[in-house]
Amino acid sequence: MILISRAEEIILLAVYAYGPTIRERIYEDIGHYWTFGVIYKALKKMKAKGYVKKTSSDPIAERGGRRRYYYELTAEGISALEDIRSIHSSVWDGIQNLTFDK
Amino acid sequence: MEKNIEKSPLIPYLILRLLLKGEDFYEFTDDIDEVYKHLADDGPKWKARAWYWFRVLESIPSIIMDNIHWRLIMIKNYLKIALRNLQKHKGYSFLNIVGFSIGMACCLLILIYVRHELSYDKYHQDGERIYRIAQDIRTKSANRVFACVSPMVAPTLKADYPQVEYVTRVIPARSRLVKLEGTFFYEDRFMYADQELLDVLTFQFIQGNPREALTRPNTLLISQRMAHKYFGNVEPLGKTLEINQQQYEITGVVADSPENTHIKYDFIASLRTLKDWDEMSNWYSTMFFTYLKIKPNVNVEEFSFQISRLADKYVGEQLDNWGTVHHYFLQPLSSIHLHSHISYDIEPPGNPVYITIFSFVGLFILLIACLNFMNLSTARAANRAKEVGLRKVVGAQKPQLISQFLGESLLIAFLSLGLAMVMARLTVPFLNKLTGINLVFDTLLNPVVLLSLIGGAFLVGLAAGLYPAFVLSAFRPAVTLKGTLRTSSRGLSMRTILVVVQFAISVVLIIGTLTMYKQFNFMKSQYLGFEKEQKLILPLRGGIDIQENFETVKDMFSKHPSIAGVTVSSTVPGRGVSNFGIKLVGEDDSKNQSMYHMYFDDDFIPDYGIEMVAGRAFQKKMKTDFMGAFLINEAAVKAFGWSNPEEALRKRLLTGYGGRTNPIIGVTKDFHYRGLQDQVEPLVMEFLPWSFRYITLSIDISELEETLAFVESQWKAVFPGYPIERFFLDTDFDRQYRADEQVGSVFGIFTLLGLVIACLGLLGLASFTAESRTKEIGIRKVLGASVGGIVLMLSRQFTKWVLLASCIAWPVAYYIMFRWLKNFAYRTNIGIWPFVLSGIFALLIAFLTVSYQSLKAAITNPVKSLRYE
Repeated sequence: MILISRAEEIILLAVYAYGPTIRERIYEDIGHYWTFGVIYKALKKMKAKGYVKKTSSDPIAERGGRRRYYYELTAEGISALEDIRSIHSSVWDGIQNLTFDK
Repeated sequence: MEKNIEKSPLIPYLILRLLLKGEDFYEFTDDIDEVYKHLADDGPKWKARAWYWFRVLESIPSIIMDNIHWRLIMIKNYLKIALRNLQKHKGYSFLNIVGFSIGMACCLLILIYVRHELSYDKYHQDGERIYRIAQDIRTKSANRVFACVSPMVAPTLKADYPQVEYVTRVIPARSRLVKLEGTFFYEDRFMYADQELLDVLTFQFIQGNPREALTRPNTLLISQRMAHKYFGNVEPLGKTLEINQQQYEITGVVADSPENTHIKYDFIASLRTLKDWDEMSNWYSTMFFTYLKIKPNVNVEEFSFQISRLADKYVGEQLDNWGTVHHYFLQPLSSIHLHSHISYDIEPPGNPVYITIFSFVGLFILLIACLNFMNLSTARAANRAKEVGLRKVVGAQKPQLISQFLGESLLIAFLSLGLAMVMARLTVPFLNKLTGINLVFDTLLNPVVLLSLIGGAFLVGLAAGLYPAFVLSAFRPAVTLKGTLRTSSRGLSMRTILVVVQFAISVVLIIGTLTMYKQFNFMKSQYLGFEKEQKLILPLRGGIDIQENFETVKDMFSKHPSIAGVTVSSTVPGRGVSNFGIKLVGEDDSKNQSMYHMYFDDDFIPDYGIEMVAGRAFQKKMKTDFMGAFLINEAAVKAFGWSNPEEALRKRLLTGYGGRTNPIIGVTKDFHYRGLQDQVEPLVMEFLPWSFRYITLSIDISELEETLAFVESQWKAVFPGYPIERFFLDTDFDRQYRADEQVGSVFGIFTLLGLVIACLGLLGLASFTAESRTKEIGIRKVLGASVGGIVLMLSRQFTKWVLLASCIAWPVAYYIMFRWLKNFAYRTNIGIWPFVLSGIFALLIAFLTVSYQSLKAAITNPVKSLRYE
């Protein structure tokens, strides 16, 4: 199983939005802003891996007649998130048994 | 919303424009523009601008990282395609990489050699301040240069010139007999030197005190390997060794002599040992190599001018009377090996000409390899045309394609460099055996050299890849994707030029090799003016003195039926002659000359079969011949200015060494007492027993084993305790040509390799041509062409190229070889044969290479060939 990184996890949890919204959501989640560069970079990589899908909206007058690019989770993205979640919980469940008495 | 015409800041926008492309750029700028406009609407404008600025600046690192990430992925793809291509076309890749790496391996070997030659004596500390003082002795008629000077020069330099920091004398003494507890060895790398030697030159002390190792008489420094040889694991310090009947105390062990010094040593004895020798105060002796270290910041030019007449202060008057000038000059230590040009030196000097020759050979071979690569790459272009077309269709730009193909040639260049390193590492021992030089591959393994090698491979890859990259990337997708690409005639002619240049270089190299062999053969077969066959030489080494008993010694050896003659002499041809001043009695000093001297007994002239042109040879019954008469050669007659040899008879000479005045009783025909590189120079011969160092036995080699056994048993009886050494004159004499011959054989090997690389290229090209004419050949066969006819048709083209290459190569080769032959006083004429042969050879090789492919194409069933495509 290939695990996604913490940064990827955070971003994936913030998608179904476009750049500025994603950035705001991350801020709400973790309490500080990430740079746009970091966010686009991670999104681009995850797009190549198939975790997110990039779609474009209809032209928007607010943007001078250009499109917004929205990101949404794919099935692979969802299962990657589930994977990391189950890992998290199993790791945290084990915390009571830290005495290595297996 | 119409009021939102707030423009975003220009500079960060431009920064993004630079860093991002296409959709990425629009996404980024539009996204932050949107937020920016909101901010500008809601709050102060400067705050919004600052926000915009910060968002862009803080993103730069990750944008750059992102770019690198995707670029790397593209490079990975290029690499994958390149490796796939290598795998897919194994034959072609093999030709390319092997050709390239052979070329590079040659260059590496040559680089090792050149670096070795150039590194001579560069390892000494303060090397730029170390010099050797040499002199030329000028008389009115002659001017002779000596690398060694009088023993008085060193103390004089130290006393009279404050610029001198240290100065040392070195006197090499060959063939010492070392005795230790009943074992005997001859050792050649023995020398006497002053204590200050250790201050002038750099020695690495393993044991002993460098401050006082050579201060006392009879003290000795030995090299590490000698310490091991004579003492094994025993502590050598303080032990004694007996050398030529003298006891020496070992006061130090130094690291083995490096290969790249002209003063190679195993034993360094203190010069104090010779303090009672009367030569030590002789201003006219020239036996001592003298090295000095001058103080820092001394003006060398001024200093060398000051010392140029240093002897005048002490013996000026005497020199004036003789009409002689002793002129001293300095030689920088590191220049001695290659640029000293003095005939007698501690070690025969290196030849800078060979460095040039080999550097050029290396470059040529590399050039052939590069041309090969260019040739094969463009010839194969059709195979890659579809890929190029497809890449262009999906959006590849020309620069991208160029960098892809350049990358491929770089990949091949680096792979070849790796392979070449392995090849060179494996062939260095072989090369060492061939040349007698101890080259070390590991000298290449230092960071600077490695980096420059990688840089070199990069340049080579670039040079070789540039042309094919441009050709390949210029294909038009519409044409190539239809699959009908045939090479244009322009490409073909460019490739023709490449092949012609390759073969022209090969032909030059072949002519060079042939001419060299012709010259060596000439030197070996030329009659030398004496019999060099069937002469067994026994050198008397380790201080054996036969001046009292040479007659008895001769008798002992002549008691065998297969030994036809025994003669003793100071030297034998090829073993060096000494040079002394000569004065013609009754003439003024301006007629003084310096000439080579040889000393031998009455049997020498008849045994060696040397012809007399006037007078007679030494005779046993003439008691006055013994130390009382001279023979000279024809060259000496000429040098004295006599018109015929008869004139020389009964003239009296005074020889400089020992000062004897005697008449000339005979003139010999010129014989080659030195190799054929050198002119036969004037020679004076004398019957002088105290200098006899060689016994020559004229033997019948039909019962060699038995004769040698006899010689050995007699030797043991006459010289008990001295190990016997023996050699045959002919092989020993030819040893003088060994350096040149070794160069010749190395040259030959490189020629062969160059030719192999050129053939690899031709092979690739031939297969390509045959392939691209498959259909034509099929049609010709259907119309009734014979196999022979088709082979001929395909080969004709190559024949033309090779002939053209030969025509270009001939004048170049002629010029080069003409220059090379000038090194030899006696030389063969270049003649027409090397040229004809090289042409035939190149043609033959080319034909053989091509014919395999042509034959394959010609015997293919036309049904098959017409169906292809």
